[in-house]
Amino acid sequence: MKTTRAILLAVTALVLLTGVLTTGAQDNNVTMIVTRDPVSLDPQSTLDPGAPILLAYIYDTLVYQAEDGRILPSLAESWTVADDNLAITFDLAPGVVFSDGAPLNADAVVYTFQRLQEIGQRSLIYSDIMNVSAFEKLDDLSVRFHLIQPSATLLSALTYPYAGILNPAAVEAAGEAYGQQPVGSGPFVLDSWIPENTLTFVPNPLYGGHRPWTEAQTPPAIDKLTVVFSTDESARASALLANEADIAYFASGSQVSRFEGSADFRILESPGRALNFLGFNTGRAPFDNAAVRRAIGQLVNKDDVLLLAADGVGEVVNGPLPPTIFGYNPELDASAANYDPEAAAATLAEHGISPEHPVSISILTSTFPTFSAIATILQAELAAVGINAEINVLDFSAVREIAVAGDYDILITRYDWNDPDVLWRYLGTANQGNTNRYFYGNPDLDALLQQGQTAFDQDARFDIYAEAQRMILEDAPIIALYMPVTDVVVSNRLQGVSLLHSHVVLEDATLAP
Amino acid sequence: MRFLLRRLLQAIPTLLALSLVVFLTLDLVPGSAASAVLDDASSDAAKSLLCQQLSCDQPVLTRYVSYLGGLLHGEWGTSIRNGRPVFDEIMLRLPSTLALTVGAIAVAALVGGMLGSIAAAHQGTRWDTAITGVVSVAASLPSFWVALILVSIFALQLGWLPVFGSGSPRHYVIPVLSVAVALIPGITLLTRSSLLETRRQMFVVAAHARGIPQRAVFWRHIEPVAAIPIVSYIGVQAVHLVGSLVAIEVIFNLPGLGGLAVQAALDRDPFLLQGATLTIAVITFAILLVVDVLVMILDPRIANAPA
Repeated sequence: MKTTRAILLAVTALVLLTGVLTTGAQDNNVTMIVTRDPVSLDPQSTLDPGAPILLAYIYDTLVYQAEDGRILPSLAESWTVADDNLAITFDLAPGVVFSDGAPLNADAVVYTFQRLQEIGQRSLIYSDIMNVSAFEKLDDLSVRFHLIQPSATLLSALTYPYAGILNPAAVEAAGEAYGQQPVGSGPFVLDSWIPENTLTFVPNPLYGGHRPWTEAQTPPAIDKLTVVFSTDESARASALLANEADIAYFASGSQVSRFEGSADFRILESPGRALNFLGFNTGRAPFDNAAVRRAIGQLVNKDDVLLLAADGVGEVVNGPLPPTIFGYNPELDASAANYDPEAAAATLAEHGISPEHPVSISILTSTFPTFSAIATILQAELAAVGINAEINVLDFSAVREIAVAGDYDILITRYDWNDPDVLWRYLGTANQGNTNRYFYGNPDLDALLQQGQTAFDQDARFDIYAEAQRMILEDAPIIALYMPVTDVVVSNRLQGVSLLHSHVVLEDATLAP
Repeated sequence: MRFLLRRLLQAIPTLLALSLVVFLTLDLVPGSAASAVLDDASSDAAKSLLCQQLSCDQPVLTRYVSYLGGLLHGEWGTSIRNGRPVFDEIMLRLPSTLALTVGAIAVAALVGGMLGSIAAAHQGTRWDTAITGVVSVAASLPSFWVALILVSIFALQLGWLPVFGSGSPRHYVIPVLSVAVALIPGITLLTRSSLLETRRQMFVVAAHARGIPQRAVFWRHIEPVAAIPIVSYIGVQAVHLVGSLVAIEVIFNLPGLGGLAVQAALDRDPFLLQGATLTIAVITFAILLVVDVLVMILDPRIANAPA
């Protein structure tokens, strides 16, 4: 009897411990789960991958990039490029104010970029901004950027949230703490921030709907946006299902399948301005030979890779640029080496590689999700043609150093950028031993890529990059695999939600009662 | 007291050795702070700034000595990823780690002690068989799996508790239970066998013979003696626990020291990694010290034993 009473007591204690019942929040608040917590919301000092999607709630940029890579007006209603390509003049939209009422004018723009030149060494767009010799205020609503060298990549750089326009008075007032007290002109303002826990945003009452990609002409209709973090995909999915959140990001398909066909949720797809690819160490045998590299391109079944490594979430890409980056040209697919394992085996045999005469190579990749799965698939495909591959999966930092040292044969990696100049970054001879970890050097390609950097005319630029991509396909220093896609699962009680480069646009969002 | 003082002195060389190993390891493994924290597109200016911050032009031992010098002045350094003081970063995460560790141990000691006592009191009965059987199965369940099951029952099906987060005590219920489940089997089985063994000893038989009531024999004679190995066992488990909570921290997004140490290692963030590992080590020593004190109270002979 005593035992039974003890057990009853224990059960009662446990039930009490689990606390009171709760109900999901059914008010006018939106909760979003992102994968990482930001370190700072100062757009110029942060490198944190968690920050950009949140920065876009607070800050506006001069120009923005459409999903197809074109540059379109935002705070700058228009811009003109000088005949010598050494100056760009931006004309600002009138009447835009920061959330504290201060006007967003030429002074703010000049202040913003001068500050970036001073403190933005870690910023992704630092090199582009350092190419500006002076920011000249022409009048209250126009600013001229004087360039050191002609640069068409500057406009792409200005579309990143890192180029968000700051309010000089707010920055000066907050000092060191600015990253925790950001002030911008965007649709939301930061209300509170508990580090490692939650950020809360509320609508900016002065937001007048100046963003050209949304319809809203008034501050957002939702009362509050709460942002929480979870690195665990299954926890994010569970939180949605438990009505604890309305929006969550997913990088792979396995958890997203829990929402397919659901009446309560919908799945939005956000194609990344990114490419997962194989890179060869072109500095040593066997991949110093373009014919051998192309044969590997024919050997890899990209559809299988996408399906097995990323649950099919993504899009197979043939050329070195994905459809989301300016310069992507589907006509180039004809020049790509399509899947043809027999032709690949024949080519490799011509070059002395066959199951009878096997070679040993190393595949290097990082612990980034999907990469080790890609490595395993590749290993099996290579084994069939007499290439015995050893896989080395290391953390991100170690992989970079080993790759720069050239101690690998095939690197499985990715890039994430918003301008075709990414090809120069990864394949330009001048970047060997730095971002060009493939030891690739081709003077003809260098010349084309440098032309592309300075071509402001969009049609001319498109043609330049078409030619450059043809050259890369022919020489095959890298083999594109697929463009990753981020899935964003949204509760159906939230309507009017769209995506812009994985930023969830909430200006037009409304909540069902 | 001399005993405790000795224990404290023993901790100092261990901590020094640990911090040296952390420093050297970070220097020897491939990869660097620049390649971990900076993006491909980062400028050379950023790299040299970071290098300056880490005194990367100086030999590793010089850097280590100046780090120790700073530590003596309460200077823990700053994190390279976000520039925040390491001390603040640790203080931000210490409560979560302590709550999880202390909570899990308390729940496990309570439940395990109770189950073990019941099993011992009813040795050989169905109660005994049931309890030892269930805990033996539970011993083989990994914490993260238990966590997922508890989430699906209490958060998804019943909706009683939040799925993840760290805002309130309610957020800690499932994580604490998940970790406790892993500790309960050992404590239960040890309590059971320790009680049974003590019960057979001569002084217990003598106590019964003197006609002391059952309850008094149990609480005054059996329990203090039987508790000694259990307390030591819990101490050892707790030491393992502090460093191994990473999986649970990730699932529930709890800001803890384990996750901080892992991120610092991936970032090659020397001061943050040092701060996190040293804090974990200090907690470990503190737990061992508490265990020693408890054992001393239970068995005064230990305090008076010669060194």
